[in-house]
Amino acid sequence: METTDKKVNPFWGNIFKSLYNADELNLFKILKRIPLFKDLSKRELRKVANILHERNYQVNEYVFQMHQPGAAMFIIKTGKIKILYESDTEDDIELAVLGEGDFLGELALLDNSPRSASAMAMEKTEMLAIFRADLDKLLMTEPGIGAKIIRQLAVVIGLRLKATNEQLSKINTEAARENV
Amino acid sequence: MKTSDDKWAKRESRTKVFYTFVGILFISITIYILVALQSLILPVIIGMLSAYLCVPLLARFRRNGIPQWLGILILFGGFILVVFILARQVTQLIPNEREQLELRTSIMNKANERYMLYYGLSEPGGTGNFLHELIGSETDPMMDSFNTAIMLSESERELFESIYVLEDLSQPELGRIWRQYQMNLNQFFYAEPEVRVIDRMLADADLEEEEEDYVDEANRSLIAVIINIISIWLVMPVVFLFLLVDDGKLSKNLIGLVPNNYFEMALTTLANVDRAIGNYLRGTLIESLLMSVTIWFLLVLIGFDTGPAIILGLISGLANAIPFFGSVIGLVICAAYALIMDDVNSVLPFITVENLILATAVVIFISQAIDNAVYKPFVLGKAVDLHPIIVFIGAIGGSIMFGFLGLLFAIPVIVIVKEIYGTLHQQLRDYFIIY
Repeated sequence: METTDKKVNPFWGNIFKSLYNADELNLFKILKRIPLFKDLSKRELRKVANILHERNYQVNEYVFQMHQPGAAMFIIKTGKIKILYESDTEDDIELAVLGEGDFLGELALLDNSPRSASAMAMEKTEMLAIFRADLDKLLMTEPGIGAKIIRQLAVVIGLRLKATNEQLSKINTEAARENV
Repeated sequence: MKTSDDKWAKRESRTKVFYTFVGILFISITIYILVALQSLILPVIIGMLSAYLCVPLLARFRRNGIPQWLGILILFGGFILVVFILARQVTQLIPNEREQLELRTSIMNKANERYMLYYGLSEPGGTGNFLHELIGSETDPMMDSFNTAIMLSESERELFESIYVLEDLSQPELGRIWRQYQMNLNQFFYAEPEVRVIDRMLADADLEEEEEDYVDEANRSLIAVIINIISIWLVMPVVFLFLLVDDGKLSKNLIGLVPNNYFEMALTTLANVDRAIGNYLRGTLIESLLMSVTIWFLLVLIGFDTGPAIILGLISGLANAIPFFGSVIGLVICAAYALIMDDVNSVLPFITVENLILATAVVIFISQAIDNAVYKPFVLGKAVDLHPIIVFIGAIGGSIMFGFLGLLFAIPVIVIVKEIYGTLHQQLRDYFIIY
């Protein structure tokens, strides 16, 4: 059986020790799964990690509520989040359930327009939040990193727009067929 | 299901109790620390404001490929250099004991000379011109009080005479001061023209003793006072360096304490306040520097020497950050210097020693007009939109608590508090927390 705790020479161990600790590497793994950060190197991911806020949510706790101004994008580290469309007159409609590695509220990185739906924790959930003003500062100080993130954000929004157009076109076609 | 709800409710109430307790404890400790370390507040505020002004520079360095550590080193070096130069200039400006006696002698002599000149008086108690007939009865007692306050005391006169006995009075400068000293000894009161200032002072021996005691005490503790001031002001560069190295970790930790309900609101509030205060402080600094240059240029134009004009311009420009009071402070300082000037080298031929104070007042008036018409609208915009009463009470309160520096920093602190309250209130409404 192979032993896991190998004896490392203190001298060479210090010289060749990793630049990143286990927690950081774990965080990088999560970030790498997010399309926005997939082009970033470890050095660049560390800069992004510096502006991340860690938040913990209890069951049924809101991450954000519909119509509130958006200020941050959230990444699910562990746990589950449901996206709700809340109505004053009817029951809430569950639009989606998101899990580990998914992200939500990315449009808040562009402006402070109101949230189009609410997000609520379905179980104990750990999240990472990236705030718009912090990203703006990163764009100013590290334009290279900022450009990569913004480019990927444009791709994500473009894909969503494409999907919405396809859905809209399907609905129109079906409506036209029904009319015929 | 009911048990689970009860558990949740109990947990929620425990959380509320915990946060309330911690909040009250935190506020109490903060108030206690603020009261106990009152003398550290100003160095900390100046260090914080300086760091605040330098943060965009650091961001610019990083954008241009300069590493963070090198940027901090450059800014910290620059900060220490500026503090060192300013401290050196200030210590050079503070006259030694002999210079203080000479300066007071000169100021008293010049002030009385100008006073009599403007009122057309040949001697105290005379009728004078129309202006003196109009307001002389009000200003004569004021001038008498000024003379009593600035006149050298008995011990100071002994010291002054012991110094000048050994001097060669044929030297023009020394001879002039000695003559001024002699004239001051023969200075009469304006309201009581038969009484000399010095006679009244000699008669009031008790008062003089008290004054001597005070002077002795002040002299004895001077070194202790300087050491105390230096040790307190060492906090300033430490705070400056700490905030530059911090790189937002402090605010991130503070945000970490905010409950989830208020998380996004707190982030937005902090960012908005940060932007507004940054704009205000940078705008004020640029405005003060522009005013310093303007006042310096105009003072040189009316005949001030370049060196003193730079210092007067800097002080007046800095004081200009205080609404209403700033221009008065600038006027008083520049006019006081104009009062003791012996000759004027103005490019404008009609400016003489006699009308220099008037020319100084015109300089301050023109600089204020330029400030209001050009600098304020372009540099500051509407960043400071405070009610005049708030400005007045704030400035007076600041000066009572911390002297001149309190007067200088009262308005920025009020602007910061107003900005925090305004943004917080707006955000609480936007996030449906309050109506």
